[in-house]
Amino acid sequence: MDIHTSIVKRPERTFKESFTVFMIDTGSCGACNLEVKSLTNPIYDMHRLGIFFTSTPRHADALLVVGVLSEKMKDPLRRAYEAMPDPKLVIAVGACALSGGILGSGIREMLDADVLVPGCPPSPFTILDALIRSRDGQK
Amino acid sequence: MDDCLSAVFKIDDELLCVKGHISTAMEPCSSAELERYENSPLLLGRYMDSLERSEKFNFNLGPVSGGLLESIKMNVYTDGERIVEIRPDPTFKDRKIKMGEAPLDNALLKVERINGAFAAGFGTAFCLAVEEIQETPASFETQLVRILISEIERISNHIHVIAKLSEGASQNVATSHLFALEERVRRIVSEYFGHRFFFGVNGIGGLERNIDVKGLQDKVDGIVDEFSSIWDALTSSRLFLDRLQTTCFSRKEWMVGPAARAANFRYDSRLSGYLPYEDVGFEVASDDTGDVLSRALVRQKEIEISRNMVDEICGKVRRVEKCRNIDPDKRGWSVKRVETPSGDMILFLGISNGHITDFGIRSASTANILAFAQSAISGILTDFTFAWESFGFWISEMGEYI
Repeated sequence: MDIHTSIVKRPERTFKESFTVFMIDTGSCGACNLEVKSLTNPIYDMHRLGIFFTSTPRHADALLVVGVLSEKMKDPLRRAYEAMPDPKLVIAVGACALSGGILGSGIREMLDADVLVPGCPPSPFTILDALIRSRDGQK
Repeated sequence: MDDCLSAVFKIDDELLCVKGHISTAMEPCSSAELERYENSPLLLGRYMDSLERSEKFNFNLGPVSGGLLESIKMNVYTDGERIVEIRPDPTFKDRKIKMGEAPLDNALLKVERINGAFAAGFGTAFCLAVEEIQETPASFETQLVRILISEIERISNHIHVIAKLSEGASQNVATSHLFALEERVRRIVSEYFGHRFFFGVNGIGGLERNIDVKGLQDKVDGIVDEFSSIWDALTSSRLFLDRLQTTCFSRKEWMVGPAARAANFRYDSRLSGYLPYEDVGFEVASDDTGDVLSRALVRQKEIEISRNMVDEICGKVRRVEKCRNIDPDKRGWSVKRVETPSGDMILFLGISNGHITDFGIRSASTANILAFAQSAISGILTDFTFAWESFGFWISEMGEYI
């Protein structure tokens, strides 16, 4: 039985041992932010899996995007992506980042996401599962 | 401050305002009043230190920064140690949500997603406004469930804010414990209400889901008891208290929510009785110092008060059936004020033929953002996080609606 709800189009095995993620909010309601933030609490504890948040895209392996694409966040999104070293992944988290949901347009017009995590918001389990699969080669 | 300007809405090219901290009456806004409002140095965000400094420089934070949960740009002016001025720019993630001409059901989905963390409060305000226009009030049980979800939302949010303050003060054990507690609240919410953020629970004229609260009281009591023990441990730490006490005072009469109540302004929309709060033992929590510790203390007291209200409601309501009550032909407008966890939110709604004609929101974050900027002045740079987190801001609720 396939219990995965996210789609990993392009996993990157380079990040198997250590995976550093930079989150950018391009126009969310805050729910996705809270669910992503939950990954650091002791219940999910993503650090035990070698997954960490970074506060700068310069140190990031993956750009995790939440929210619809608001006009004024287009430039910060582009600059964050360009600042990241190669290889890099783009992870779209939540219905808004994927398609715009009912509030706007998604990030597709600017970036092609490698990992799609649906949900409004996706649960921390779903996000964590997507992060694990995006670095270990499981599609 | 019963005559202070709380919100201004533009309707059919006419400016209407809501005054004071309880009223929902709309009245014309004179040009003199508006001019005073728009030219207020507070609203313009000009908070210069009393001593003009020639050597200040701009320290930019954001719009994308690891320390902030959402996107906001802060122009922080400093002389290297003290904060001289802060100019927040919350417009970066403004979604300009399209509310005009939206059908009511679709609009409720959008309203809940204005601020996901306060979906119960925003959804309740919208449903109450529609029900007032349609002259079809929801049943008493439905109103009690709306109090129930609003108060659980408040418990969850206040635990989150105190966890962030604890994180800022490097109290790592307490921080981890509090974030785990927040997660457990979400799981309880998901179990009883079908969604971790109360999306889709509220409905116009009733509820969208069958609600059975059997066992909920014990679970919420367990959460609050555990929170109380963490809070006792935190407040016995001199390190924690030193970071919060006398940090970032704010005492502005136009503030709302826990920030206002921490400065002994006992404003609370729940006093207006938009829901039957008087039947479930509501009381206003306040403190008198107006610093970060006071704001945390008010939140701690409100968690206890909210727990008592949850207990009261669970004793009165067992099971509420899904129900709907819509009359699409009614037209009119309504103003509703609802006390979200961060403070008073004012919603203006006009509808006709089942569609929205006018929509506006003055959120608690909009009301308090400049109080934050003012409170951080003369503090040191490391006070910034305490000033910011203690107000419980959500940038998502500070956008425009078209």
